[in-house]
Amino acid sequence: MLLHSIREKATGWFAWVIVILISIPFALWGINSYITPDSNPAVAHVGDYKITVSEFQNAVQNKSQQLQDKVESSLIKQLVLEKLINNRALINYLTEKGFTISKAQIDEYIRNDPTFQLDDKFSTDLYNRYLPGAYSKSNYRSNVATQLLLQQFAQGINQSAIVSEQEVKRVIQLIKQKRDISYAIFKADTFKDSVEISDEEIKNYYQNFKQQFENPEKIKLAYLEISRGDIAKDVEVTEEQIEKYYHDNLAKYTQPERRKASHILFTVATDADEATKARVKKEAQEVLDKIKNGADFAEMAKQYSKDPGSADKGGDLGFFGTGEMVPAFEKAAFALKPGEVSELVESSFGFHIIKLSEVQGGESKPLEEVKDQIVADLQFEKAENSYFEKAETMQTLAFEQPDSLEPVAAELNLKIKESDLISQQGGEGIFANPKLLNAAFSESVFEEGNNSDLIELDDDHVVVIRMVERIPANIKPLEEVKELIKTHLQQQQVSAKAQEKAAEIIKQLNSDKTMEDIAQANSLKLETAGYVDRQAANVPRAILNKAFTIPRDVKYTSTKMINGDVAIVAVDAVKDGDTDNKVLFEDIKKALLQNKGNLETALSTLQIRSESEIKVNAKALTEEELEL
Amino acid sequence: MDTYETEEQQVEAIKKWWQENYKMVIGLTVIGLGSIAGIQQWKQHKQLEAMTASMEYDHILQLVSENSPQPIDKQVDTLLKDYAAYPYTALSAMLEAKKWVDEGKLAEAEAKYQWVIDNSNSNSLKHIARIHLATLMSAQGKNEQALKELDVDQGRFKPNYLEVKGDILVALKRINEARAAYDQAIQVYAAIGANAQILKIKRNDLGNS
Repeated sequence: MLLHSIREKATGWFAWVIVILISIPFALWGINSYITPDSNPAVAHVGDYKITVSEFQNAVQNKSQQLQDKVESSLIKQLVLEKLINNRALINYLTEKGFTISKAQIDEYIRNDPTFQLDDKFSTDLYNRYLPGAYSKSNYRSNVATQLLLQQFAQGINQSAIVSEQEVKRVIQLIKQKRDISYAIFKADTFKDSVEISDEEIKNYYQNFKQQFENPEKIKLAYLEISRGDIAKDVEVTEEQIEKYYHDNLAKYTQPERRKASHILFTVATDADEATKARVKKEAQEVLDKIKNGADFAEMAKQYSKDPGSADKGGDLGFFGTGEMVPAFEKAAFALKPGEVSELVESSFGFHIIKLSEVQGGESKPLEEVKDQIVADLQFEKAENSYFEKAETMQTLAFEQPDSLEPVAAELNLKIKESDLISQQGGEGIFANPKLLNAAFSESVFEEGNNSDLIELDDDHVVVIRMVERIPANIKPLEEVKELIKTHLQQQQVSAKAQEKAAEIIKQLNSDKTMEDIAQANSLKLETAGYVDRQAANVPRAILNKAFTIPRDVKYTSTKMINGDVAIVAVDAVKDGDTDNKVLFEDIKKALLQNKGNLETALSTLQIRSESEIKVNAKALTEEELEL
Repeated sequence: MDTYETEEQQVEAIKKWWQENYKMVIGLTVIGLGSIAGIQQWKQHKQLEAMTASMEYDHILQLVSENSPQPIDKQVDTLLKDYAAYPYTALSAMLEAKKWVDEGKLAEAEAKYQWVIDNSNSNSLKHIARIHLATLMSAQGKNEQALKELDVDQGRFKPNYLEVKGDILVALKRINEARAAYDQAIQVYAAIGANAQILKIKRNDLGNS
């Protein structure tokens, strides 16, 4: 009946209603990914792979920690993004080309990972402890697979680098080359008297390079600070409170107890049957009886213990604290008195006979010894409420009456303090704090002259600031910088004269004069360094660099030194590095191979990257900037 | 669509249809399931093949990096024969060539590089093979031939090509051209932030034109 009626209606309007109802979910399937914004947008697409903002942020954070904030953050971000893109382009490429890492290769890597090694052996226990869940394991394994993939490629290229014998020899000749050097230095001061700087020149320079002499904008701040440490100093603490704190926190003042014990282990496999277990237990009991009847514990351990780590040492396990041994063992060992031997103790390893040899620690420091510390701790603890109340009051009042710090100061009985003049670069002490500087030069404080918000310098220290004086950026007056400009111009002209003179001398040298002639004629000191290599420490750096960059067939040259003096340099002879030295040959060959391997790996990455489809999402990158 | 008078008639019609078509239905099902199983098996086979190549390669890589005296040409030959399509094969050939170079057998090494140039589907490896091949040719005095080898699309390996070209030109005593090649290489290395200290020393040694 029912079938019949459905069939009758299945051709009419009813059918259409059903069809439309059924289609709705299909039509909307997946539409939410179009209308709700992506919660984890991509900073870049590499092929089909999306480098998400969170992946990027994690990598940036890791890198920053690694570099300990020594490098500017925008540079770190750039480096990290490049690295992520390169890596992903490589991974995509290798996977597509058929690079595959097998389960066996991953296993092998994990077995040799030092993280999971105990006594130079892989420990399943450690593995499970570091990676407790199935998810963390599979995540770790997939990371390992990726690393191995990249490694296979990079190592293959690195190891296949070649270098010809000729090239090694040529490099040795060059980098181990020695040059016979002599030089004479013109003091720049010699020319000082011949240089006259006019006021006109100084004025011109000042006009042309005004921006060099700018004083940055500076401000003076008034501020109120509350620190929990200051509040704590005035907190009263009673004797009872001290005593109670001492007893409640006795553990803090107690050296944790450590015990030294020996044991004899009779192992029972976890899957052993009852009969086996009983047999082992009987054997253990027999040994225990022997000990009770006077047998030497250490001897028995050597003879019977199945613990390879301790048997040879008479069962000695050394000192251990709580939480280091299996629970049953620990319980028994901590119940014994020194010298006592336990009954049979059953643990997951099997049966133990335990002998306690020594107990260390466990005593508490007397109250008198730690009293000062306790007072300080208590005061600090008790200052908490007061500190937060005051901080809150300060925040509220400073906000409600943004034109002055006086009401806050009066209410909280604080003194308004003033800073020195500081620029955006910051000053000393709390004025070096970036949070404070940000607030000081924020629109509200700097432009509108309001009190700042509450600034948390750290967990226990807050301030509110306001600007009391503002000195705009200004150009230093000519009078102030006149001497500076004069010296600068003088140096310039002196140096030019010296170089002119040097050029003239080199002309003379190239015709018929010797270095001795020149030195004598100009009363200079002639320095003869003899044969030196590229790293020689006894020749000034500038002279050495110049002497080694001139072509072999050039004999004389000159160079300016860091202090403005000018050196005349003569290279009398060139001696190439010794290519017959076998050790040196192998060393250089090795270094060159490594160099070439690294270079070829890097170029391969660039090549592969250039063949990949890469889209950087500039918008996500800048938004990410705001969030950080 | 036909309409049926009663449900009996409908059942009859279905039975009749089945009588006429059951062979084809069963046949299609068998073919369908069969090809799914076949594809799965083929995929598994490929996966296994790739993993075998991967482990074979790891072994070769280990022997080369440990400088083992054990020859690897037999193993590489197996890869060349059975796994030619895998990138592991090209890398293994490069490693074998390196071993030949170490043993002074340059002709064998050249053959391996030529194999990579002709067969690899990786541009990076082809570039490296070419550059190595030219280096070997030059080492044997075949400088003109080596220069020809470098005259290709150079991709991102341009600075490397230029440096080797400079080396060969120095060997040919064509110093002016060598200077130009080195200068260009130094420029490109600087642009990608690579260290080119030794190259600069080589360049300085040629002096100014």
